[in-house]
Amino acid sequence: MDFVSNLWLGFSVAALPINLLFCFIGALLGTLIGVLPGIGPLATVSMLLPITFYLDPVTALVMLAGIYYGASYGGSTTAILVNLPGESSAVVTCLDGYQMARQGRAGSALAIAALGSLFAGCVATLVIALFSAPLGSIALNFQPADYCSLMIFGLVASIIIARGSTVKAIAMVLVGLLLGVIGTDLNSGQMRYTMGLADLIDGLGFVGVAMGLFGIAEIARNLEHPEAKRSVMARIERLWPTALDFKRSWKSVLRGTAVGSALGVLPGGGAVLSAFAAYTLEKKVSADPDRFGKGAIEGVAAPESANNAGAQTSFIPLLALGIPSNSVTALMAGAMMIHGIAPGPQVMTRQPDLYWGLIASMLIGNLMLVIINLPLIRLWVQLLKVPYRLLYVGILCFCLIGAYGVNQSVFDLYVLCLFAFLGFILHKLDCEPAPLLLGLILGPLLEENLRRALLLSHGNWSVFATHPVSLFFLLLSAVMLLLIFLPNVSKNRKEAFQEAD
Amino acid sequence: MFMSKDFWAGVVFAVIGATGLVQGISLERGTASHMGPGYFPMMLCLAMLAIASVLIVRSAVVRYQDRLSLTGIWPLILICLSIIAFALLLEPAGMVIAMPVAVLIAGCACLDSRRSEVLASAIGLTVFCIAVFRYGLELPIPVLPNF
Repeated sequence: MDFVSNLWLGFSVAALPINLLFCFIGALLGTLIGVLPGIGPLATVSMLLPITFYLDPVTALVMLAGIYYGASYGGSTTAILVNLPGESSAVVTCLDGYQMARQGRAGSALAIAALGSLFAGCVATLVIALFSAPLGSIALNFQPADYCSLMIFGLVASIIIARGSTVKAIAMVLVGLLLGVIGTDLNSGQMRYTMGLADLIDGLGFVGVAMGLFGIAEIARNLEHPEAKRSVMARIERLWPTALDFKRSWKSVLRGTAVGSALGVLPGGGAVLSAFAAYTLEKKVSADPDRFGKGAIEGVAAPESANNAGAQTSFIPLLALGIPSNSVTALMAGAMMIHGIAPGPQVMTRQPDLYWGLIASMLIGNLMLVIINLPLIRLWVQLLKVPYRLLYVGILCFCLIGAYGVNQSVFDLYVLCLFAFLGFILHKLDCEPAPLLLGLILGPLLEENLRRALLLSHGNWSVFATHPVSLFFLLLSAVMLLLIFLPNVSKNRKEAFQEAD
Repeated sequence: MFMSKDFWAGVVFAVIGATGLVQGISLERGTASHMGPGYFPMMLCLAMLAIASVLIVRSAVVRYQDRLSLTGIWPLILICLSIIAFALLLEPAGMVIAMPVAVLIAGCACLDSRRSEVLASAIGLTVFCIAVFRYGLELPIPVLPNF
């Protein structure tokens, strides 16, 4: 069977010692930054991008993916033990997880969270393997106009999940697209917006932009608030759930996995959205919703399974269509470009070892994560005692080396500085940086396909409405945009984000 | 109005859009069927200017709005300075000088910082980074001053 032989190929790649090693490093780093509040997968992946330049593309992607799904494991530890989300995807886990810890059931919560994540991770990997290939083969027949509309759909989705004003998010996408224009125009060979700087001929270094906007600007924001007193850390008595906890949670794990796998695929979806949706669903279907918020195991099991499933299935749009659906997968797309691989459906056919190797590594990585997390939990807890004042200088140093390391160019350090400043100011103006990053990555692709589509149609813009696929994505984008301007939906959206804070 | 976040966001986007238009004026625009290098950026800049004007008009009309506050800009400035110092020093003086200087400047950004800890991390991080990145991962980063 095709599927089995493909997966076999994947495992033979993922089981190479070097890939196993970097899968482990990725999972370990992911757990580490997941446990530590104040540094997320976005900052870490952008910090490590330049280093992956020196690795094989498969190895690099395996490690970066490990960081992303590893972070959702690590985040739950902090959420349960100290009532702080180590990771934004673990916000909901705090609600019931910390209550369980206060009742002396921390071990049970941690174990269910880890086992639920393992199950969800394995299922999500199979979902990726099953669905991305057929989706990709459909996408291979896409015309330039279809691609254009698909990208517009992706950008609109990033606007919708951005917190704060929609108008500003649209403007941020435009800024990103415009920054993507900088450099040599591929069709005419003309320089655009390079301002005579030789360093800009190949375009604006995307690593510096991402690291500045997410890594450094985040440090500055964290330093603004004096370190909060951390609540008393709960003790871990026994690390195995009781039979009752098992009985109560297995259905929640199944539901959480389903919700997470489905929502992760949506553009803009991913770990955070999935966790919220799963918790809400769990509360709705529960016979006794009053237990929630007071230490219900279902309130830990469902969101933890969901965030891991969502983190993983958010790779489907990237792998099958070449369209990243959130900022982390946007950085992964950047990593592929650094290695000279254009993300898209052709990766599957041209580089099956990379494609299936990455998928297989996710299964292996999930197993490693349970081993990293459960027996070593006491070690991770010690990490929480490291104060931020020691942490941030280290993060800064890695960013400095990373930014310089991509091209050994001092210019990239100035880009880093400029975007750190810009990122902070834009944050103060309630403009989220994620849409900008997506715009920057998709910009060149969007322009190229737009030009090609209009060249083929002899300048007739109606081509976007006459191609059925293109029309479908455009209508979907229009509906989504209209929906968030409706007063009722925009109110709900505001509330959802407030809960997330 | 002049203190609101919307107003300043509008100003920032207007400046970016206008700069894009002015800088791109010499680029050939072409027609829709044969787009020149200037077509796509011009579309973007015009859209950006339109959004900027929406934001600015909105800030003039809406009564109660979030005010812009720049608290916490000091840590940011110190961190930017530390990046610039690293950029200036790295190629002439190498990591042994650039990195401790960067850490010392950045260390001032946190109110809780203690002098001894900053000093220790300046030395520790420099040694660690040289060991891991230069000798472990073999990144071509200058380590020693280049006279």
